[in-house]
Amino acid sequence: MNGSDSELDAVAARHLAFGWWLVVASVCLGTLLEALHALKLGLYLDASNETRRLLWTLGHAHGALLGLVNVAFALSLPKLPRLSDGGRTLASRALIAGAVLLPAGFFLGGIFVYDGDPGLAVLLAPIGALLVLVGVVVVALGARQR
Amino acid sequence: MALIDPALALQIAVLVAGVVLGLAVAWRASRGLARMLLVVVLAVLALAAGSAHQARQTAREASNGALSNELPGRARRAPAIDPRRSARDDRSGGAPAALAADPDPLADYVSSDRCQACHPGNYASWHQSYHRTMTQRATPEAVLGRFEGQTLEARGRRYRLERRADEYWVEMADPDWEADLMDRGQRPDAVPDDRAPRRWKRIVMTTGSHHMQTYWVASERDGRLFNFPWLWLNADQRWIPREDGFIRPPDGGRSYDVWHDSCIECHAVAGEKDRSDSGGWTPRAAELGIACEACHGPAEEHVRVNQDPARRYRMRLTDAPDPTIVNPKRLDAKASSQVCGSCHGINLWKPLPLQAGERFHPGDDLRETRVVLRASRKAPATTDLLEKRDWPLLQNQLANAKESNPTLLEERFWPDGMVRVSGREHNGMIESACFEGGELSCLSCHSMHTAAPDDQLAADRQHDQACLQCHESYEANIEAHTHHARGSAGSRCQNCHMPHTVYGLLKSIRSHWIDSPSAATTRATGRANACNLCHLDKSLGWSADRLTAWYGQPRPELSGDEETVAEGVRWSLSGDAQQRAMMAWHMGWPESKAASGDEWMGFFLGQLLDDPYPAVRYLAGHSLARLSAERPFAYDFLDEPKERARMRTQTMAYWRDAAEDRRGTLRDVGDRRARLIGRDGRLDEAELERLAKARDDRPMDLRE
Repeated sequence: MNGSDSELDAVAARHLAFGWWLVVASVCLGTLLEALHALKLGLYLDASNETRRLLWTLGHAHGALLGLVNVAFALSLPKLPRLSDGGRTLASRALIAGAVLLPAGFFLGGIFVYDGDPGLAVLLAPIGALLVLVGVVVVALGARQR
Repeated sequence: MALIDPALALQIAVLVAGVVLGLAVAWRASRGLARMLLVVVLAVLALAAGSAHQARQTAREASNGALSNELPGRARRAPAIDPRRSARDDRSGGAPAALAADPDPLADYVSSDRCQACHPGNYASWHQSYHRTMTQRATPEAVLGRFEGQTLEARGRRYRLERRADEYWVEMADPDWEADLMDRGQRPDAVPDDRAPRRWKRIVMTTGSHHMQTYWVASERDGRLFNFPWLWLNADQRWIPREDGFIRPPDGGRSYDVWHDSCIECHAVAGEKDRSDSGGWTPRAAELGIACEACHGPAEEHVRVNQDPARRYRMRLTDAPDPTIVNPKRLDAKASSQVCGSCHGINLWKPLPLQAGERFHPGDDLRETRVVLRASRKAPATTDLLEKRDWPLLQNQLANAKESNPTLLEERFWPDGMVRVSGREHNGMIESACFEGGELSCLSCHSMHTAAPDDQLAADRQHDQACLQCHESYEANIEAHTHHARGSAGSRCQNCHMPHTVYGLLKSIRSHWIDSPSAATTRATGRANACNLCHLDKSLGWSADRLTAWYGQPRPELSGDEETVAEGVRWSLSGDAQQRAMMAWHMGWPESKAASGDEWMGFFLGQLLDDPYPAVRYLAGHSLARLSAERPFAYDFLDEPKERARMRTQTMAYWRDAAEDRRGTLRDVGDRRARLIGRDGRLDEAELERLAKARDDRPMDLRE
């Protein structure tokens, strides 16, 4: 393992906290979406808001999943033999940034919709997706056995 | 004026903030990641700019090309329909090729399924409309009628109905054999039923879903669809012979309808018929029912160019009109109304464009391909250049048409040229001063996507709002204008200016020629005026007095009956079939009942229970059934004449007490006289008989 144990612990702790808080935020969003269903609110359920419903659902699902990915990253850190300090930092930042931008892109893109097209903020989603991709590739490379 | 849409500005701000956040996070992680992220962002922007440029090019090409449907008045290319091509794929699940909504011969059309992906809200609102369900394949979801073990008989013909799993079948006289007889000039119903060859025919298609539904079976020889001549009435949950659902001469025999004769033009998208080399008919349509492309035009090009997301965003963010599709809301009042009027109107095809295969497409000037029939007195004085040019053509066509049908106009228009049948609202609206002013269109009141499906009235245009959006000055002091209390039926714009003087679908419907009540017009046309359609218990003279006092109208010279007899009484006893039908319907209309009192109506409705016209009997029966909830009223308007006569006598006897005024409780003598009440408070039998004998029994055939 490279780097000091305390640095490793700090990164793991940061991802553990970030991951679980992202899960908390996503569960809150999910609860909100369920409330929108319960209250039969047109801004979410009307056929003309189908795109918003899809985007917010995607935002909720991606947020929860990426939260768990960050938790998994934290728990995996001690067992990533080939992950360099630089790689760890890169993966850490990419996973956090991606986990913010991807669900945020879906959620914000669903605020303003144009019939079947999301609002411009959805462009955050592909940027976040690329960051997540970078993060998981770096982690996967680091997980190779020596 | 804002330089940029605030919503767009907010979105751009959110996007920029997100990118900055991402870069900042990455910068903290490593400069390498930040540089990589920057490259990704720049690449995304470059791609977006590239596709925006391509979209602009495509849009420019499209707007320079044949897609000129945003430009009213420009003739569009002939529709991409090649009727010579055969239906390749039968998507009907066993229905004949005639029903195959094969998109290939109609290459410019894509069908509503393609519209749904990008316009889910508009698709959904259309999907719940009765336009969609006007014509459907006969599936369990579409068929409303009861087929299980039914046997129907009318006019000497018997029909056995069956449901077999998800299919609907009828055993009937062979429609191909009937068509052969018709071709030879013979009436099939002259041949006794037991001598007619019989066939089990599968119901392949339905028409209607709102008020009633009828059905179609397929020819075994070509693509023709023959009508199964019964109607299923939704409200009554019963079958009636098709002929009895219309105001047609009662002794007119059965009607034989073939779908492609006229229905196909408006009850399907881009409906067409063609005669094949072998002589058979092949009806074709891009889509059954009145779907997206019926109003927005063929959408193939629109779908193709909008697969480019940058183009879509450019269009949506700038709110610029998309030249690849027609949006009736963006057309001027005349052109947008013609989109509706191409079907909701009486139009004659122009021979030359018809022969050249030119068809109307939304956005075109309807008058390039058709003559919009006008029968009003002001029509000859039109200042519209196209109408002036077409006037001789119209007269010529009318003269030709009248040779085969001398009552062509009478079947559709009141004597002053006002449309009298349903489904022809455009012909009424274009005669209105509001339309001539250039601002009124169908969309002033109706909406295809933000309205309840019943009348498609826009949510914010119910009642007076529709009129007050232009005539707002009346709102402050409406009582001074209407002489009725604010909020009352007499103060509603539509009740005075759009009364129910149109007949169709077994009811009275609002006229779309927006005008004002006039006793002189009633006298000249026989069309009851708005005053008397509420005040059925008052005479025409009573209305004339008020119209003179309130609005300074010259008082016409009226006959004795017009001065003294209540219009509800006069028309129900002496009117023609439509006038009687209108009275029967209005006696069930809550506003009329509230204004006139309703107990006296039972007696006169009873008189109509044995009317020669089934439609009049139907309406009288329904109004009577609503008159008294306490009194059970078992009446079938299709009963045998003897039973109907019995019901008429029994019902009139029952309501006689209510009609008479033996206690002298009516407000004044005039009221009593108007309702044929003598000095003793009893009905004046001699007057009743005199008026009933004067009934206008000229055959009436209304072409709704």
